[in-house]
Amino acid sequence: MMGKEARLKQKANDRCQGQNEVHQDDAVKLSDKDYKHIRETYRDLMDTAQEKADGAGEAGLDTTILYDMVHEADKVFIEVKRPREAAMDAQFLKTCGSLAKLNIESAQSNLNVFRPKEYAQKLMNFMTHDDEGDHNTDHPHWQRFGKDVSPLYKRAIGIEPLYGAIEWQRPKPAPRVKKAGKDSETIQQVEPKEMMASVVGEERQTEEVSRIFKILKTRHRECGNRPVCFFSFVINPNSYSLTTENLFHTSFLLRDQYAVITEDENGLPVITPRQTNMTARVGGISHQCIISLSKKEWRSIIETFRIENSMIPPSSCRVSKRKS
Amino acid sequence: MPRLPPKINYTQHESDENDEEEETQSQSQRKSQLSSEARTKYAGLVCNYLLTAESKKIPVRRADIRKIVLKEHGRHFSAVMAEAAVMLKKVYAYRVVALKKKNNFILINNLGTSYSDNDNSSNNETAKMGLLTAILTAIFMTGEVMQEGPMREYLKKLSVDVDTKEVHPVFGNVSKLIYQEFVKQKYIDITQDTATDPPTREYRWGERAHQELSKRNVIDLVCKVYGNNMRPEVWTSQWKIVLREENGPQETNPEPSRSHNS
Repeated sequence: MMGKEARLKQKANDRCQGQNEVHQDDAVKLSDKDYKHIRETYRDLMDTAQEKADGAGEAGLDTTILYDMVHEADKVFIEVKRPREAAMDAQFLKTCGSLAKLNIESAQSNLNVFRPKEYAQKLMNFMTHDDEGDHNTDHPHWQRFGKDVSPLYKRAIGIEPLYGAIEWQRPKPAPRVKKAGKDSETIQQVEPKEMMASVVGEERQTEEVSRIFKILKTRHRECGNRPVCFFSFVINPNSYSLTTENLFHTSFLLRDQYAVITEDENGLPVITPRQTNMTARVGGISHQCIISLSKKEWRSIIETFRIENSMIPPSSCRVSKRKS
Repeated sequence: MPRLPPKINYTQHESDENDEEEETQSQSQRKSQLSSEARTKYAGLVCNYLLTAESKKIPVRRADIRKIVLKEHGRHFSAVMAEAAVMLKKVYAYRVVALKKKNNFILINNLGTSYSDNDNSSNNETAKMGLLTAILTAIFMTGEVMQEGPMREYLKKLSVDVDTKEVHPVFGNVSKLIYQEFVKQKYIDITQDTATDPPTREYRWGERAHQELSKRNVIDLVCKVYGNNMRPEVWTSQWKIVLREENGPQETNPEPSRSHNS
């Protein structure tokens, strides 16, 4: 390979020298016919070269063919006297040169040019073959391949802590800004919540109801088993709200018929406890009424009946709340 | 640092703490040095940070370390980082490698891994490694640079189509995997060749690939896939590169220094 290159180079050098001689030797003239002949020869050579190149494919021309063509051109060049023909010769030589280069390249890399598609095919085969060696599976075992090649990597294995790697605090600005504005509201909200929680809770309720029931029974006994004046029983002269609550709890007693409200001789409502709820629900007929008690009425009742103390003392927890 | 008026109890407490820290900071500014215990403590935190970040395989930025771990002590980054690197090396045999892009870091396992080490990783992870290996192999064997066209055809042959919108049964969104994930993890480096019209991509090994993979192993793998007891020397130009990597760590830039293992 190297030898042929060198030879081509040598020829080129000779050619240059030859062209110089042409310039110097102006005296010798050839006939037009001869020039034409020279040009034709060159054109023929170039055509031949082109043909051969087209027909040769990737590998380029066989070097012997190239060498012959160059040799031919050589012979003709001896006759060449004018730059015109010399130019044609130079062009032809250039074509030969590039063909030779193609030839050299392909010959050198014939064994080990990496063809990705070819490799891909081999890789697919590699990944699809079963352990027995048959090409049975139709999908490539990427995982298996990946597992095989993973040891090639010097990978560090990261850790993934459950709660995050570093201590970080929740960003403060958001809650701060909110609370600055909402402070007053929250205070208000907090207290009512607490109050309701203690009173409205189910257990508390039943406690309260049973407590009131006991008080009612006691009073009833004290009065000699006579009905208790409803108002005296329920009203708390000190607090309207407590009165409302007493009413609320009493309504449970009435609903479950632990107590009965009737009218006495004067038309005033009286309330009597019952032993047990003898008839749980009187089939469908429920005796209900709505009592409304405004603050005004409350006060007037207190005055009218001269209620000084409430029969139902407020429960202990309520007392403490009140104090705070 | 502006402080809100102490309306709520814990804010009050917080501002006390911060005052305390500020004092230390000004003190340390005067000293301009971190006590060795503090440095060790921070180095430990940096190690944790690096280890956790490594699970995603995305390089860690220095700016992030300063902001999140070091906070006020960002000035001591180099000292803390140096100690963290020593810790990682001693305890895990992990090297902290600074990437060419300034102030990015990745971790490399100094010792090799063996088969069993990867049992924890999910199946998808190992499959991705397989695809990555296939790509890196092709790039290397094509002379370390591969053009868009050949890469496309190569992938198609492996029934990995980057163009379709369809979801690959194993890899899911392959275009995202290759062009984003692998690139972000520094396994593949994609550059745009603006000379052509429209501009085409060129694929090279990323820095992490250079650090984690040895070319010798790659060429051995190729021979194994070809079968027939192919010898790696057959691939003359690639073999030259392999030899250069093995014998001259000073010449090629991103190099695991095999001969200088401490």
